Amino acid sequence: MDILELKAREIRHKIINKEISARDVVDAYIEHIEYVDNDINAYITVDKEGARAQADKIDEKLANGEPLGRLVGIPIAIKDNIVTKDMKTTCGSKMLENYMSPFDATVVEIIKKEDGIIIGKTNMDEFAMGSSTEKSYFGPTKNPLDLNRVPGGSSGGSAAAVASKQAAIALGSDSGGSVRQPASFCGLVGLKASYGRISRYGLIALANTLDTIGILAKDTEDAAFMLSVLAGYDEKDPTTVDMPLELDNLDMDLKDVKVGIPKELFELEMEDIVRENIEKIIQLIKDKGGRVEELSLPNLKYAYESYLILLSAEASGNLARYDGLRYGHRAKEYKSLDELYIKSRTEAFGDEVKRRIMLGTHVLREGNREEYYLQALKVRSLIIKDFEEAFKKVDLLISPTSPSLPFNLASKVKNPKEMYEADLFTVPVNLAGLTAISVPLYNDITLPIGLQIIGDKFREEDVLKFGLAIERLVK
Amino acid sequence: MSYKTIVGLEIHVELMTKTKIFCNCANEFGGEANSHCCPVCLGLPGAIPRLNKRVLEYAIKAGIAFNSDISKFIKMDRKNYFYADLVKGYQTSQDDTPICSGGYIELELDEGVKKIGLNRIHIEEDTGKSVHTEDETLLDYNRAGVPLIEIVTKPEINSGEEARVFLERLKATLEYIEVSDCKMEEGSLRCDVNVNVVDRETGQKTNITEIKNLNSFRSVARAIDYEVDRHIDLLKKGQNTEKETRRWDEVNGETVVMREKGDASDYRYALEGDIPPFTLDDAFIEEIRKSMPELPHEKKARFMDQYDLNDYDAGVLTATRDLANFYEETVKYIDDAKLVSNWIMGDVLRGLKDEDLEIDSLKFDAKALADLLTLVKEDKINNNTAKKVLREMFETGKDPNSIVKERGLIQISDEGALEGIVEEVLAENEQSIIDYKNGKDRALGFLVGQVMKKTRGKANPQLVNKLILEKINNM
Amino acid sequence: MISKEELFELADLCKLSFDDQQGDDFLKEFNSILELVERIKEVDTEGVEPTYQLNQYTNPVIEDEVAESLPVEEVVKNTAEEKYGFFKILKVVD
Repeated sequence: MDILELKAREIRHKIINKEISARDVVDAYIEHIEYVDNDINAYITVDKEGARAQADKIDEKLANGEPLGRLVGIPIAIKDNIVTKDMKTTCGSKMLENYMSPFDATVVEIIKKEDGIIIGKTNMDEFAMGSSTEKSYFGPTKNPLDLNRVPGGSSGGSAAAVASKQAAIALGSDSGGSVRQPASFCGLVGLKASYGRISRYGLIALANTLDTIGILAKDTEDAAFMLSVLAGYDEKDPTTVDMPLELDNLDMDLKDVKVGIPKELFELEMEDIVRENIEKIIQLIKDKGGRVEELSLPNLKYAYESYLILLSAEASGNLARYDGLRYGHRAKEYKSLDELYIKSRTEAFGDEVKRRIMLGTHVLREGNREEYYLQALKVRSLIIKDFEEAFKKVDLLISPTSPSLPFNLASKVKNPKEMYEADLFTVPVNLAGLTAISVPLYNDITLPIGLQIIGDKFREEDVLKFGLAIERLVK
Repeated sequence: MSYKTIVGLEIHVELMTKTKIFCNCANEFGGEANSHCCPVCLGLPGAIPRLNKRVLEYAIKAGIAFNSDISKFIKMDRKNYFYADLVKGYQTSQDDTPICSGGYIELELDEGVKKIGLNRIHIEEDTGKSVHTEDETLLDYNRAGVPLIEIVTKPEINSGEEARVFLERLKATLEYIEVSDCKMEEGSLRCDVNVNVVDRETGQKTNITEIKNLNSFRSVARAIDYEVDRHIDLLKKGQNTEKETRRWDEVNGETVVMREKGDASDYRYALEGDIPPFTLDDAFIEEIRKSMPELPHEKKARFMDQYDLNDYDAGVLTATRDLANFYEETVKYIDDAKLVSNWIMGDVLRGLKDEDLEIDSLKFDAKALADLLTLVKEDKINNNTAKKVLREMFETGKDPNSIVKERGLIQISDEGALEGIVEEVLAENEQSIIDYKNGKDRALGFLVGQVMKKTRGKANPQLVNKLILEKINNM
Repeated sequence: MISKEELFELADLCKLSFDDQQGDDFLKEFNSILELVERIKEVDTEGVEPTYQLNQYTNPVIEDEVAESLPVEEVVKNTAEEKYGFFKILKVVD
């Protein structure tokens, strides 16, 4: 059996049935990482000894007949903006190049408790600002499906790791599409759960009301499996809520679902091949008896502007703590406190980070605050309302995840505006705190196209069921 | 020419909670540097703040005590600025939704009662502290995250002395409701002043000066007086003050311009996205209202009524909650309100002042005092003896009955026992008898004194007086 | 959009710096982003309440109970310079 081909949930099964050992699994993965990651650069840190030690412990527990956790033996990659005590957490930035967190993120604690194996920390756009993982201090990550192309971002490392079999499953973060779009580019399933579903404690903040931790998986069932382990109220994160989650049976009949097509999203520019394939899948859904209707969510036209303003405003606050005093990069020479801050930050932040910090600061200035920041908060309310209305009529909404196929490295880096357009389909979901999944459509194309399926808040089971149905449809 | 002084105060008060405002680190004064810190109060990447319920309770208590409107809607905002003692590059505070609005504090001045209006009370976190050596600055974040309420008055204070009285009243009330210990020397109460003057004739106003670095209520009064003079001087010369911040120099008794802090005024307020805004339920606020202790002015009014005390006496006895409690306890044991008030206001307070003690460090309790006063009331000892016994109670904490018994201090009130001595004294002092009969009243006092001397102060002076007069009149 | 002078002012507010050439390059891209966000003004938001949070939270507060703090070594382990458990910088603060 090819261990690397196993789905995450299958690994657990086989270990418990003693068909393979945890050590077998980890060795297979580490060997493969050594073989391919120089070309792909999915990982910033790989913890070979730690992973092997963990595996050995599991095998011992197994031999002793001790109970094993739900994630037993599964090699998991963690995006490098989720803090880990045992490995550095860099956020893809020079600012945190050597940062060792004194605490684990809640999701990391859960993984450890459930006997999961954290293989390493993955590459990302610096501080999660970007859509191609080209803006990392540690160099770009390549798309395993075509090394000349980007894997998407900002969770490109996590996506590339799973797509190139360097991890069985991975965690990323999604504040505007950063898990869904890389999933789309790498041919994976990318799940963004509802805001408040998975604890953010330990996720280095980009934008507190938009950030979520997301899952990059080989298929829908693996994503559902991981969600069921990670979801739940965490007292360390007061923005989490305890809401029911029924994931035992994901089978559904396409006849039973009513799907909406947001007009405003479909009016956006997208590559022809994307449009064609999305239309194809819509036809397939109809053929299977699914009901598809077009809806208008008029305020989605301004989702991107609202998103950019709010994200930047929150990020400018969240990144103000990086001044070199208590941790992080500190300038060697300075003659005043201001100079300490200015030099440390200017030396250690990349351009995109600076751009968003400046934008965030700009929109919060007296005189701008009403027109931009408060306005964006109000537009957010309108968008939430649009979704509420839509979900009265349909169960789910669909759209392309990305307007384009994975693009070539260095093709958009010079043009931030173009880069932002990569997120147009995904950001509305974060503004409303909804759940969404990207499921890959492959059929007769060489590069994947993601279908985004959007569900109402805390309706992850709806998007997962539909995602599974689509998965089966396109196989 | 006459000028009106206009003063507004901004007071920061540290709340006496057990833990900090957003985490469970101990809220304690002192301690090794950085020994009361955690990821949250250090602002480490990935940490998320959680609001301490007691902070809300204490802030609401203060609002109730000061007659403010309590906001049910709780929202926190980020006040963005950079400084070494600020771990996140922003202070989590409240911008447009303070927990309390309006309110007032009543001052008892010579001219009568004056109400000083309050603008608002809001909650926020304290910053760390810096220590300077020759060429280094050392930072300790134990104080970072300590909960504060910021109380802003309306500019209705009109002199340095009024400001001092205001602060005394504020402190007494906050101590009464056990929300803060208000120790300006320990930094648990800090006060900044905004002052300017108006020329009553021309209506011309000087620019407002902000004064910082005030370490005591007295400094506040002195600084205001100094500034007022400085403002008036400039006006008289046809000049105006700069709108600036000045530091009070206690040693030289003057204000000095402070160096500019740069981006001081535009704090670019934004929502604190990690603390979801919520609404308090009425029950929560009602609970707090019901649990409010009697406030100083309420207690004073009750004392005047219940114990038939005059305004001044009631004021002294209710100056602190501990003293008031001590008084009432004592009265419970000996039902003579006036006697108790005389002794407490007299010898007890004097004794405390001499030893520089607070009432809660007395070695004897209310019952012991009551026992002592019972001895006096029953004529078993005279006042002088009682004072001596009280002094010993201060020193040793021994109960009065034991002291009196051991030292044989019981007053001689037996006529038979005294007669002999009185006759002796009269026989030895014939001249005094003659003097007295000739109208020199002082001679009587002398004779009484002689009896007291012979009985080593133990004779009942009133009885002695009576006996001497009887005998003289019978001569 | 903003001028180069305003750009430098803005940079100072968020403790960043650019030299002259960097300023020019940055300004161009920055202004194109500003152009993008300008469009938000087109929306009629009369009578619309801002969204401050995505879910309903009732009393997301914690009790006033002391818990263990981090050991001092953990607190200072990532800083460039420490002394006696304090974070240390040159004396540049007033």
